[in-house]
Amino acid sequence: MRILRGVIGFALGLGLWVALTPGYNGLLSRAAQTTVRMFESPDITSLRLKGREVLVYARDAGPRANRPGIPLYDLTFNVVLLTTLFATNRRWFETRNVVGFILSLLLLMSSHLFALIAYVEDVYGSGLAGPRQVSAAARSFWSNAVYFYRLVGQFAIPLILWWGVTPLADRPIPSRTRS
Amino acid sequence: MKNASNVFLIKFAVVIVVAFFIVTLGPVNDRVIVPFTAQLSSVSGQVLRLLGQNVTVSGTTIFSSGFSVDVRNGCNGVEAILILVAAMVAYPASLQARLLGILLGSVALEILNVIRIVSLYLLGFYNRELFDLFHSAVWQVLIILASVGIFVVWTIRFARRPVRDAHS
Repeated sequence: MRILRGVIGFALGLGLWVALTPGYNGLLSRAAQTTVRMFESPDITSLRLKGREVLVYARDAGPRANRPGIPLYDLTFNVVLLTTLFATNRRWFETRNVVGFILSLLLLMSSHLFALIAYVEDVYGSGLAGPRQVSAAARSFWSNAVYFYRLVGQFAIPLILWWGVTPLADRPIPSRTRS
Repeated sequence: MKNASNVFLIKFAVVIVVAFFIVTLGPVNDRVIVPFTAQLSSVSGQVLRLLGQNVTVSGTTIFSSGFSVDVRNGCNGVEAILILVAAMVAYPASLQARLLGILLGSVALEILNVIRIVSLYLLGFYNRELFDLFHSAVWQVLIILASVGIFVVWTIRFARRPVRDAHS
């Protein structure tokens, strides 16, 4: 039954992700732009959606500067993973599981925002969006943050949220302390 | 029980971070990850040739006149193995059980990963829109779910013994 629920959760998550991603990407890029600008003086960063990417426009970089693209779809697909994991829980439609899922989803969306900000700062750090003073420590931090998110963070975050929120009795994994 | 669960979660997060930094070390990347990824591409290329595709493999790239894929970190299954390793290290079990689980689990994940690369190449060759969907979402989720599935089966197998036997 768990596997069947997982398949249903996967299909539901994938369908919702495909349907809602264009709108969600717009919200995400606006939120990231606002946050990045809070730490800029003057405001130079503009994030514009183009197809499956968000382009980084730095107003001080000149009209012929590069407009590096950040693949937004690759950033947010872990919603499907989260949906599938919560669907495998025993009492998947009980209030506690649904509330846990919604809370986890909100936290996951926060991680999307942080990841997009990290991508934008990494673009600046690597000089792809025009000249900008970025310290070596900041460059290294944002570069590692992006790489960490891409390699393991985007998978580990939904797993940790699911594990942390799901009651022990509903998990598929037995507790060693029980015996 | 709740405390044991939190300990698992903290250990899992710590091992993930440590494993990430090990994998990103220059020598590890250059001498282990890149050659491994090239081997994976080579095996995938051979499978594609068995399926009648006229492909050439150069390093980590599989290409033909119609399509090419470059297998990189994130597509080589290392991310799924890191998740599996972190979970098995964090979960209380004997060293032998951990090593066996990591070895067999990693082999299973890489077999699945070859299927992923082959199917993505074929999708890219015949249907570019489906390629994007499967590359961005479907396969990435499936490979991590496979990692979780292997971990669950492993815990069920090794959790049958009392705790005192497990810590060694």
